[in-house]
Amino acid sequence: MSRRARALMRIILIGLVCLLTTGCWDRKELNQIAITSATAIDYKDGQWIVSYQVVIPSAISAAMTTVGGGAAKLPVIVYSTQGKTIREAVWKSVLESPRRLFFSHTRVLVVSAEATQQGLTPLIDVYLRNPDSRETVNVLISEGEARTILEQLMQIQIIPGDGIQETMVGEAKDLSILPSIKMYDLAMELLGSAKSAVLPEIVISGSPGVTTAEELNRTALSSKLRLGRLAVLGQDKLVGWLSRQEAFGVGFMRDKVHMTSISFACNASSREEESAFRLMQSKTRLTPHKSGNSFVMDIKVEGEGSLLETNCPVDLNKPDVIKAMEEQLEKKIVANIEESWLAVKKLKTDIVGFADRIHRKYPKEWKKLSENWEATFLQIEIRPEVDITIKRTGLSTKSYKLQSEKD
Amino acid sequence: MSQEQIPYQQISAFQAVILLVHTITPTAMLVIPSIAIGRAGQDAWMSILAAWACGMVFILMYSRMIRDNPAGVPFLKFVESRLGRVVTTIVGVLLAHYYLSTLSGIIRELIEFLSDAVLLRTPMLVIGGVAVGVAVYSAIHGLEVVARVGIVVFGFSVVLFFVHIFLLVDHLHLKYLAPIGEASVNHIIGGSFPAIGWFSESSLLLLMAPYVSRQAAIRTIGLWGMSLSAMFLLLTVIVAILVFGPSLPGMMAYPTSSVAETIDYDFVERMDVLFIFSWMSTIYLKICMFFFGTVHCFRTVFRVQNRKPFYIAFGVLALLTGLYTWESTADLSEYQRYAIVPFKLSMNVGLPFLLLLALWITKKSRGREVDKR
Repeated sequence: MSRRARALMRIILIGLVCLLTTGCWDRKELNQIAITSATAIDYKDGQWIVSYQVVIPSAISAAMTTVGGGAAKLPVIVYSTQGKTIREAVWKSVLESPRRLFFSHTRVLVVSAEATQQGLTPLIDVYLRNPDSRETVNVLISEGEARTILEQLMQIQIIPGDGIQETMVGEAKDLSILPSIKMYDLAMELLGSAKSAVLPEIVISGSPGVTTAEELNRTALSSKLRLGRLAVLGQDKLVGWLSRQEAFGVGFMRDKVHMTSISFACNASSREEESAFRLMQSKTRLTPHKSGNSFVMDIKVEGEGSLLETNCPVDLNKPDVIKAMEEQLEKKIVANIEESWLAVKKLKTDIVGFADRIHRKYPKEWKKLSENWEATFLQIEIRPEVDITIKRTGLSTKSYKLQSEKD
Repeated sequence: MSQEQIPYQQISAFQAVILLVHTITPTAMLVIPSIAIGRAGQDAWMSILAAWACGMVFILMYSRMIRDNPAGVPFLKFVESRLGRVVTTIVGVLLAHYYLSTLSGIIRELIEFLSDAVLLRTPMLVIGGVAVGVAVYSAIHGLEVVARVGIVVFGFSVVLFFVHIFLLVDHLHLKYLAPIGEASVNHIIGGSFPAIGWFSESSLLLLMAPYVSRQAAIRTIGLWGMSLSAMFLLLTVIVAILVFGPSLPGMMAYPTSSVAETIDYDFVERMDVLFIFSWMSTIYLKICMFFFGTVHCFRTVFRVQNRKPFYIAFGVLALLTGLYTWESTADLSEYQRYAIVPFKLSMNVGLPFLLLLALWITKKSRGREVDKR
């Protein structure tokens, strides 16, 4: 055989080997998989009910091209299966679906409050164990049936699962009242010193639910998906809820406030909140101190941002005015933290990270404290201290109200 | 001239350093973080530092042995010239067995990882067969070719490693390293054992040394190789703690890969795929190095001239041993946690130490004989 023929044979052989070793057993054909954009977990009569929001690719392309043009095909379908274990329920999906479920693109997981009463450990285990379920999925909780959340359609975002995830991430970044919790965050928090965690709530606000193309094809929907309160989990089970106001203070204590908007009063005697401030940056430091048998927690919040709006008759060129505004903001945040602290104490669950902080500062004492952390936690006294700087006041130097009063 | 006619392919000092890193790190980065963090919690980084100190001592021991062999004679031939044929045969067989056993363990680790993380339904035989095929093909071409490939692989894997850390910046929480020193000394030492075992794989330097162009730099090569390996492992362990805290990595099979999964920006996600790609390139080199060790010991002891068929034979043997020695992942995990470290230490540290002692005694007695004459 000539040299050239041998080289050709080698190339053919290499090509053949490449073709034969392309992972045939694990190939996934697009027309054989059902891409789930969201999953919901319910628990009823001793069975896990797993619901899937499956994307219909052909309907999405149709929806992209027929904006406002009659009743389009719906972009997703929702169906459920049930079983004694979560994965048993998932595999039962082959009984009713021609396509195999594909979870790698799942953006959100909604767990019903009832399901959390069974404990979240089986769910976390599923996500950490199986490579097709990614631990970067956002976890939310619903007070009612989780499946109904998946059935609700969104107007702006074609795939509701994507829409919920983007809303959640956007809120955590721009408003920071509720945190964006991924599966691995949840797993880490429940394994932390306090063995507790929080989850944002997702609710359908209004009724009836928007589940058909006809209902979606309106300028004002009868109902919509909305982020609600903050669920508090202790030892992987739901122990209570915090309002958004309370969740905001918790966010400061947990150092999870990235950016937010705060309304505040013109002065201490005023009850009306007529100014708005955009907090652009915030940092919270927790410093525990021993005080007899208990602890005092110094909560130092430092933040800066800009003034967005004011209806106070003030001249913003004067540093004293800015200083007074900063004091108003600081008082408001301190009050908010104190209010949240009382709410957290009522639930007897350390979701504010005090256990971690005390564990880190007093590792030797922690071993003893951890045996009855709840009792120690309830005795902690907090000392919030807030330092806010209004860096910018926008394009107007004086308030419009001041100018109009002068004129 | 064919490869068979070249007695010693020469590799540069830099190539030797890189080969040493590839000999230690690929499986270490996958297996050790989970065990070390599981035992020492947030203080696992201390375990790695302790292991690094032991590794440096191992290198000093190996380089001391190599110093007595300035002519660059293959290690077993050098042992034979000093301790005789019987000792050399015993040592050679023990080492060949060690390299073959470890090789099958490495192949199984590769199969397990790919089966768990990506290729869930692909038969283990196919995954292992492809890996062994590629490694045999590379190893047959000799150490110099493997070393050249090693440089290329090292280049892109280091870039990917640091890009991956850079992309994780938002996920790193320094607070997870505190409280420092909470783990007891026993836990820290317990956490360091696997890393000590893996660092002892640097004993391959004894076999590799005659191929290095700068014999005088063997100690420096060893120290650099060990320090770079320790640095990569240390960073891997620290990043796993900073991302997942001290509790979660201990229950994860592959925290290093899971860390890459957490990278999730609008513009980039699924970095675990890149990690797997980079890791697979490095593990092929590790397999090559252990092939080299197995065949080198075997052919030196049994004075085999043609080594190519033995690469294929040992490849098949290692693949089958890897596939059928451990019935399940649990068996492999138990082997990695408890049996592998004593086995590695006895072959990589105990045996060389006995040899060093014997060489020292024979050197002394020879010196006395010369003095008497």
